[in-house]
Amino acid sequence: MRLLLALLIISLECLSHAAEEKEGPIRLATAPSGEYAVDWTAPDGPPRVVSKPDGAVIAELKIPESEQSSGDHSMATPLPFISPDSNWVFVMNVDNDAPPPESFSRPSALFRRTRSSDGTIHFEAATPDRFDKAAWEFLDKELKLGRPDLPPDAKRVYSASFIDWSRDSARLLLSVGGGAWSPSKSEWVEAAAYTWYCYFNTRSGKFELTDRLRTADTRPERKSNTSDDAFALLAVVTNAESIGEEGPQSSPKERFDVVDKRLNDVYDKLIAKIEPAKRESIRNEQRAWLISRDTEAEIAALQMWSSGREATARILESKAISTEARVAELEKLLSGSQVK
Amino acid sequence: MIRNRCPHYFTFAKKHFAVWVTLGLCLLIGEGILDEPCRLAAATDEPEEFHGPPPHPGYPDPFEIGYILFDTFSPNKQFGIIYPNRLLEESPDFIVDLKHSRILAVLETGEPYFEGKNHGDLAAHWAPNSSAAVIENSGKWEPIGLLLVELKDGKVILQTDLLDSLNKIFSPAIAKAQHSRVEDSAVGELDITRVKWKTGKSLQVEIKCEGSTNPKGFEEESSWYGELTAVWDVAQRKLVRHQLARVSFHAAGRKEQ
Repeated sequence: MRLLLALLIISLECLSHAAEEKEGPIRLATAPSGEYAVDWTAPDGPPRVVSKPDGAVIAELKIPESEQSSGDHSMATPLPFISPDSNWVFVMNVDNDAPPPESFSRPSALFRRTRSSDGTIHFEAATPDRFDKAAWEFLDKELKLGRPDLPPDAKRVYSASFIDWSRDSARLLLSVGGGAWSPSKSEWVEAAAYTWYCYFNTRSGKFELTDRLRTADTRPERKSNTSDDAFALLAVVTNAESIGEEGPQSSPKERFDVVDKRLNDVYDKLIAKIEPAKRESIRNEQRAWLISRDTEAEIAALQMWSSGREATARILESKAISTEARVAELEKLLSGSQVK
Repeated sequence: MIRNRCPHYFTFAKKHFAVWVTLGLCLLIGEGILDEPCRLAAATDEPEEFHGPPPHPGYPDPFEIGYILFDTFSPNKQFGIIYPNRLLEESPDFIVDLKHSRILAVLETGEPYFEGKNHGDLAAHWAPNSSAAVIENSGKWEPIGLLLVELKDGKVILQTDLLDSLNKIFSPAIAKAQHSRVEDSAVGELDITRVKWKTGKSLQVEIKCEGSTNPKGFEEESSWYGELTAVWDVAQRKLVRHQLARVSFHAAGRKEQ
């Protein structure tokens, strides 16, 4: 009987392994240069950098565990974001299924690609400790974020979420949070809901704030829970500034509102001017365009892995760009001979 | 690549021996039938993958790792629905063109459905000619959305919330029984029991549902119950027929009327 049970367990183990092997690694991201990709085997393998031509493993991108972590991130999904010049990989672990405080935690690391004298590619961590912790400590020092009188058993839980790479790969824009959790009370003793922006400057190897970020970080709207987009979006940054191109970011809400009004004006003029027989066709075309515009905007925000206010801002940015193009089309139609 | 529902059961199996053994037995039995666990759909000749637009260079593909292809497709197998997994749980649901690998529209169902959502479920009832679908996004007591999606020439041309129209039929009947104002009268629980497409002179969809005002059965509250059959005409874009049946009313603390 025992032998039978042992045989059964062994065969189950084999089948389980076989099935796991069938799953194979998932391609998480491909470097813009095309030289390498980041693969991952669910559910708990480390992300691996593989050579694009031959699939050989170049490196494992391991994220250091935090002190307060239970160490069980087996269900977390690593998300890599490779810089435009392909020299940097930011990886953050996302686990929305974990109970608090782990669900808030976004363990992350930044890796730099280096080349040894024999041409071999390596990836090394940009900071010795956890990247999210280092980012929080920088912001806490700059903006005095943390409560000085935390209860003795409180442990800080860090998160650093990817927002954007600057076009010159010199700056990584992050949204950083750092709530404090009391294990004895099983509750937050300092809110984990708020986040602040900072850059990691890949040229200086240091965290930094520009006027754009400092302005957004210190606005009172940063800590508002309002659903009013116009108010909340005042403190949102979605684009990382390249070196030498620093400056304020234009408001996506204002840009969209202006062009949306122009669209309504030109559309009304077109409907009034066009022969009645063609009106229904224009109306149908406009309805289809609106569906397409809104869908493209959602896709654009998803492709940047935006959530919350950043997603709202990116959706508005995308809608503004599409609407500007549509206004130009309708204006051409309005002035064209095909209307009459 | 997005596949049909595929739980990470091997992870759980490692942690729970009993589950592990049970699943192992299932594997033993099923090995001959199921060649690859995630490709159950292949046996029924259903589409099994959807490739979204290319990702942002250097970033993960949200449609590859964050979305699941719902296992109900249009009869012509061209259209389907994708919904987010837990990784992107606040992201929208989309209707997609499987044949041309295109995302057609965000499903405007209010709160989107996502994998494993509490009290949530998704159902799609496709018209026989694949030109429309009624998408039911279920909530705890009533659907979060009951959406009629119309397609033409491979595009979504209109999305209509049918829930509002159904509630407009229930409300006056409830108000009459409760002697209250129509705007104060609404069903507390709405259960869609059948969605049936009718083809003939025009495309119509018949929706059967049950509405009640006191789903928790509180004795101190009055209880209204009714079954509604309503027919929506797609071309006319309105309800063309409706009938309330098996209506009952219990006033608070009184016997049935």
